[in-house]
Amino acid sequence: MSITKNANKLTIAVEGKLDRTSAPELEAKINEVMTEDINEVEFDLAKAVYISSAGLRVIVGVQKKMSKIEGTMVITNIPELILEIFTETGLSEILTLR
Amino acid sequence: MSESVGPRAKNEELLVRGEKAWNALMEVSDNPRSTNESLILKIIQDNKDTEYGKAHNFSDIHSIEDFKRIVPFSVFDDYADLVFRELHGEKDLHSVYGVNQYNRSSGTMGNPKKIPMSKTSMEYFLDYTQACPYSVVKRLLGDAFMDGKILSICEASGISYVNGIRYCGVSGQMVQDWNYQLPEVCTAPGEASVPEPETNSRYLHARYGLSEKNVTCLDTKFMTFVLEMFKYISDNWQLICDDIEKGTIDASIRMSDEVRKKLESELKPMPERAQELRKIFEEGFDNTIAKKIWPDLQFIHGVSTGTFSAYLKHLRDDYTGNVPALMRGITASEGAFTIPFELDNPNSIPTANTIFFEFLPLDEDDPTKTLLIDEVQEGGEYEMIVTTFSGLYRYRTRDAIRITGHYRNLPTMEYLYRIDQCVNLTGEKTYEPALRKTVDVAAQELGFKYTDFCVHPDSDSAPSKYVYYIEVIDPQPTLRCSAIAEIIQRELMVVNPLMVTKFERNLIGPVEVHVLQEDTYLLYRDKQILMGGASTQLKPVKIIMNEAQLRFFRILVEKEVAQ
Repeated sequence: MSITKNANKLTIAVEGKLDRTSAPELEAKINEVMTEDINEVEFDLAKAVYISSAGLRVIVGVQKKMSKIEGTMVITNIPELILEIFTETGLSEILTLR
Repeated sequence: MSESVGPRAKNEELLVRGEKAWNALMEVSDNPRSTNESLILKIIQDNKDTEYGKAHNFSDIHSIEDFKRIVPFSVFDDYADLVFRELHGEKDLHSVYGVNQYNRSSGTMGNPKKIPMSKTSMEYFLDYTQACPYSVVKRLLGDAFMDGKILSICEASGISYVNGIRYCGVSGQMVQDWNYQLPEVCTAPGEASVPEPETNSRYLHARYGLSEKNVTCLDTKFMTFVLEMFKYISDNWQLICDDIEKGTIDASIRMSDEVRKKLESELKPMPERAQELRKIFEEGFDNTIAKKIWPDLQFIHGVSTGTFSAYLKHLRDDYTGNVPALMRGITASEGAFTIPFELDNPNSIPTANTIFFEFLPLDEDDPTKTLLIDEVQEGGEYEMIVTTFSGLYRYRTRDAIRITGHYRNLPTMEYLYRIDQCVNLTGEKTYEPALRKTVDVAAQELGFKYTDFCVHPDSDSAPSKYVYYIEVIDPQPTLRCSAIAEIIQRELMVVNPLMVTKFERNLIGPVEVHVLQEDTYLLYRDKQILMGGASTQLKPVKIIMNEAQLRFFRILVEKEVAQ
């Protein structure tokens, strides 16, 4: 996982599995860099292979934060198998997928 | 600036109110029928000139028999038009007591509704849900709890106003009306109990709660919230301890600049408490941790019957051990129907001095066949029908209860389930408590713990079948879904004897079980909140009612647990 900060934007590149083991780690990293000025977040899932409920909660948690400050969050480069998870859970209707 | 008077002085005030409410109920407990009869005749007399009263000939009602004969059962839809007109300024349509607030229903059975509540009903609600517990606990545990603070996780959120009248969940209304925000009584500041949308209130509840060693009560609406708080502490204790040590709020914690500035100006470094907490947390989390954090903790207060009983068990197994629970009685957006009278007892007694009660035997639909408060039979199962000081008449609560005995002459009752929530594939009607029992037995026999479960009544397969989705905590590699299914199928025939022939004749196919990924139930809750649901109103899914729920749980099955 890597996080890059550019002005008011965070880009979070998820690699491999985002599951119950890796999700708390990623959440802690995000919290470290999620300063008050951040109003734009991108989750880049190009290298992600799997996302579990715990991983989805990290993404939903960031969306909740962005919604509260009227910021934006997008999820990009979604592999087909993961896209199915967003669709079936109904999260595709409330998150911005590209 | 006035000096803080400490928790006892403020708690004494609340106790006085609680004692008054408890004593008022006890006064009528020898002859609740008489009080209930006087109450309904007063309500009918008061409201005979309302539009609803005229339409239902209230002026012809002089007895309970008249009332039962003349007034039909009602549901919210019977009032929807009147509520709509009230919102546009008309008065006395169904109640002369006025509208103090509109309570948003949880929408368990559909879209959220605006349930009107009068000032009188709200006062009763506060008396019996917030003040009366003081009286009950003092009688059972003594008054040591009054020297400490309450860690209250109750929040008022999603508040809006319709023509100047407040609209939100009844628990939110309660928090706003109740002076819990006073620092003498509660650990968390008002910024946590009535949070701005961007405030991370979960952090604030945990942080302020941990700072205070002298906590004697954990107070919540649903027990799930206490469980979530402990999980949050378990995941974030280093950050929280750092903040307590330095008297700061970490920059990663979201809140407005204004709130942060105000809170940080009031915080003081507490290095000794931080060190004490770190030592506790470094030893690990187990079911003694709550008493290590708060040595004087006396009781936990919250809804822990019905759907929530599994959460209380989980809480006790993992965090609070044998700390007693005062289970909230049966409350709804329409009022506080029952209150607890003992610790660790899921039974409760009706507030017979504030609501007129009727009890309709389950599977009976004739409005004249209801029983009154002194006519119910021990062991009998009924739907509660209420008439309130908010203009609801013979209102079907759709809550099923069982009469378990008597406290003085008041019937004691146990909440069973929502009547509209059952699995009914071929007329067998298996209700939520029976479904839960089957999972509990499987968990006990196979040695696993679970967060929650739901059942999909699968009528598309041939034959139809029960498909269970269970969120198992840390499933062991040896666990097999087929083993769980076998036990559940056996137990279904115990809890619902009709299932024996259903299975034998293959009218219902073999039970299917899937294990859900951990955190699935929390994700479902997060999703609902993101979609605009109020966190205090959300209840876990027990029976899958629609395609969206089915798709959600089906995709989040844990593939590593073998069938």
